[in-house]
Amino acid sequence: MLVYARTHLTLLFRDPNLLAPLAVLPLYCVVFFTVLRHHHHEELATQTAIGAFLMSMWAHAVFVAAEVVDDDRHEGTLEPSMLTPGAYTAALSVRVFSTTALAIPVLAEALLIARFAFGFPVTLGSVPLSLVTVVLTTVGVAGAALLVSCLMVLVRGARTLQNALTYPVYLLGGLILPASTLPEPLRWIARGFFLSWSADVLRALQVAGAPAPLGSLGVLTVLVAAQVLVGFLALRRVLTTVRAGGVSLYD
Amino acid sequence: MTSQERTSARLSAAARQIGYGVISSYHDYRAMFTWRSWVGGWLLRLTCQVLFFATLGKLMADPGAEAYIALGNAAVLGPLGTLGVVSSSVGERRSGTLQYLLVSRANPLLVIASRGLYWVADGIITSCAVLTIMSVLIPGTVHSGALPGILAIEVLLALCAYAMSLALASLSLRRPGSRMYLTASTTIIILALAGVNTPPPAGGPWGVIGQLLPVRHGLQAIRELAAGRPLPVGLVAGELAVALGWAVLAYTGLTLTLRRNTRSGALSLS
Repeated sequence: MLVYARTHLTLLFRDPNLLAPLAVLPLYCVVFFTVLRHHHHEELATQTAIGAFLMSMWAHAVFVAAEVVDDDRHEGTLEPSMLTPGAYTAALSVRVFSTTALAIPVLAEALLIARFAFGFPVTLGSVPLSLVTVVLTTVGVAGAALLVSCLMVLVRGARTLQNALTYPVYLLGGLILPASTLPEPLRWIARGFFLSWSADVLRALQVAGAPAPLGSLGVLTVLVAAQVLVGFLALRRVLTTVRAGGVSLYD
Repeated sequence: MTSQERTSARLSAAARQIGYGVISSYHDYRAMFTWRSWVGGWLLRLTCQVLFFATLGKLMADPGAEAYIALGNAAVLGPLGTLGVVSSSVGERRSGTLQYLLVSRANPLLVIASRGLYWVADGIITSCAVLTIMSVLIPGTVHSGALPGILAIEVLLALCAYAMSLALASLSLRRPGSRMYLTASTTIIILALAGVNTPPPAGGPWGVIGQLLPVRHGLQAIRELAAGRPLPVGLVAGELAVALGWAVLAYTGLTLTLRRNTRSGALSLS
């Protein structure tokens, strides 16, 4: 498993374009912080940095991690990979997860920009529980990337879909305003989406003196597990269809 | 042939090249979207993008902040959309057509500029569509009678930003790996300094940079119209001057890049 991750990260660092979302997206927090400063709401800096972090991680997963399988197809390594006795689905999952995990430092980056570039107060609550939530979120986002990978294999012109999976998801995930503020039918959907729980738990954990939201953390764990299971099973099924010749791999 | 006839022939040749560029541009666009993917994917995404930034205004609990941010972000969709040409121009190198373009008798600058016009058209259409949607979803965003005037300024904003995008394309044609960084960092600079989410910085180095950016003046003019006030001619003239400046920079940049790439042989297979 480590070999899969190491090999993939080596490939990734050789193509600077693939790291662009990770390098530039966190800078959206500069735009957000400018708004906070103008309206004198410096106390919302931590909450906003969390939103920018989740936004960056999701975009990185959708635009880079989910393309792992499409890159293999493009480079002609998908077919030989599926013919080898090695577990390609597992390898792919590890590669997608390790790519998604590269976005974790963005949280520190956003908080540092808030503190040192804007001079905002940054409040950190429970660091261990925050780290647990960040890891859970990473696993969940990687699970979602596995689902997007399926689309990349099955649908021609999936780039439009990739684009459509950004801002609508940020709204649904309550990355700026909690999902509880969404209108009724959307709120129900958001409650079944792990990202909205991630955002809520991460925000709640930064409130000094507030009790740990252990119940919400439990719900998040269950939703993340479900997301990963669905992603993995869907990818395995799609790859089985590809092996059986059910999908045209080349135009 | 008299000099008048020569000028007329040149103009007619240029118009024909632009015409072919527009046709090619239209087919490139058709290859990207179907009606369903445009409405259900692209337009939905852009609408949600504006709503997402507007939620930041809602979070500020400041009356008017939500509408201010919604208007700014809807109007800036067109200018930001034109940044697509920074990546699509690299396609000329990737597909190996740049070298043929350079040995042909056609003017390569006209071809590159006209082939990316679909980004301008898409930007104007999506911007106006989202602005109309916002006027319904977020009361106070736009005074309904102002929409036709806003459309006219939106065309100017998109053309001004297109000139800047072509200037940036002169960099991406040199170094194709830079295209994502150029597009993303320019987006953030415009969102932060052109008065999209907060009033633009009035002075200091950020204020000066803001004055030279597309959108800065035109968006202020749109805000005046949206509030039901008369058209501020000075702001429109300011945007026009910025557009001309960027057009000169785009012409110079692209000319130098194509000369350099020809000399170094960096014409294809980026």
